[in-house]
Amino acid sequence: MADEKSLRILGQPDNERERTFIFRDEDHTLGNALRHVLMKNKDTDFSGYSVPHPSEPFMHVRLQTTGAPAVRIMDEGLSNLGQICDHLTAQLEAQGATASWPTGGETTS
Amino acid sequence: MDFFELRETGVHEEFRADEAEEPAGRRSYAEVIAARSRIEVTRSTMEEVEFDLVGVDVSIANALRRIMLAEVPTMAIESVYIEENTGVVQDEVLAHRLGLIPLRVDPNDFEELLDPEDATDVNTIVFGLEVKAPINIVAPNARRRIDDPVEDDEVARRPGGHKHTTVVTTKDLKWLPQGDQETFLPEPARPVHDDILITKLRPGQAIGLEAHGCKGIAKDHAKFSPVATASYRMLPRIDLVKPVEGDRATALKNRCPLDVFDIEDIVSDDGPPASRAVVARPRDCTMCRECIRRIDDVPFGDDMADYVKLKRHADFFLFKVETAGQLAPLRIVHDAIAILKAKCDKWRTELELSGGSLSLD
Ligand code: SF4
Repeated sequence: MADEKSLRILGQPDNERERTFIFRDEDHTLGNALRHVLMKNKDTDFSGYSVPHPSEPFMHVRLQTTGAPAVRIMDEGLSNLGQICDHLTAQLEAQGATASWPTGGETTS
Repeated sequence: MDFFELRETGVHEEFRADEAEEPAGRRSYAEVIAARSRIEVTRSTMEEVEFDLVGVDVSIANALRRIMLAEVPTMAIESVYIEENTGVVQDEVLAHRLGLIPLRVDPNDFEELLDPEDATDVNTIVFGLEVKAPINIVAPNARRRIDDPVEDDEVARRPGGHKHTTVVTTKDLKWLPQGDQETFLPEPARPVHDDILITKLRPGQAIGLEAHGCKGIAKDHAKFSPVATASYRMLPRIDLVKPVEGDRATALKNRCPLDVFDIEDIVSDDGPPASRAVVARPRDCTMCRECIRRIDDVPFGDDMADYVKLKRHADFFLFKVETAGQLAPLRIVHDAIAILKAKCDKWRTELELSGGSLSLD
């Protein structure tokens, strides 16, 4: 049962619209954010995540689409979430917010 | 934009004022978010940073918060090799206390240590701790209390130090540079504070040990957490649905313990001068609900809730990140976003490697 593979995909071979993705070493941090981004995809019919047991390092994402292959939508979801991160990093850097210690006492921007 | 409304009964309710959803144009969700989200730093000090994260969903705000708490790597003492410990604090307790000391070392300068056997200068920092409590010869003086402070003893002058008590603090931890560490580290490795009490020794007791630090994340052990706290709250929004004027305005202003409301004078040519309450500092609101509470025997005590609506913005987060000292506060935020991004990249690669094929059970 304890598969060493970090990503496992479950589903029916003849129905590529429905898949369950099992992420190793992930939890609510990625699960909820990913679920949200997937829900915003127009091709998504259903998306949900769960952590079946708190002592096991697995997080499940169930994805059902309206027609597109679930694997492709998952890839789009991950890519979208990554782009949001890029945007936030750019926003933070545009603030002139350096990642190093502020010099002197209090600085306000 | 969505709001959550708070009623006197405590039941809250989601308001979904119809947002003009993306027209059928094929903009990806990331582009939609990029167009409306922003980060604005409102306060930044050596200890903490406050910033607004606007236009993203709670799940993303919460992911960042969770990453800051548990997944941003730092350096901490992980293995302690004890040669001598005759103090009252047992070896394992002492080792645990050493582990909890925040270290001012940039984790980016180091690699992860997967097996303690592989320790080298690129993945391990070493501190030495050698303290021997001097045996004081006490002049036989019956009037003198045994714990009277001694002024001329450096150890004894530290807070908590007495003639018979030697205080061991993080000041006694000596960094022992390994290999090229002196050249590749921008500054010497050191504990964040040099006055953290590690243990106390009685005369003649001694501690001699070597502490090895490595890189880790708070998911494995809380000592690696870079934050004292990282939290967010949603921006409160107070709506005055009917004009609050005159004595009612004063009553409302006085009712709010956080002084959220101001009183504005209404100047009109005819008629007597009037005043009106305005929401001036919604950020200060703690959602205490005092302004919508029904109170008997107080002017306007029974129907203030008809005038005031308490809400929270569903996509406006006020973050507060307080560093434990290892990393600059903004650096933690930076790293957290980068880590979320790295997760996405990692799983995209995994997905590609699997070719989307089903796993056999
Ligand atoms: S909820 Fe409390 S803090 Fe907020 S405006 Fe009302 S009285 Fe003031």
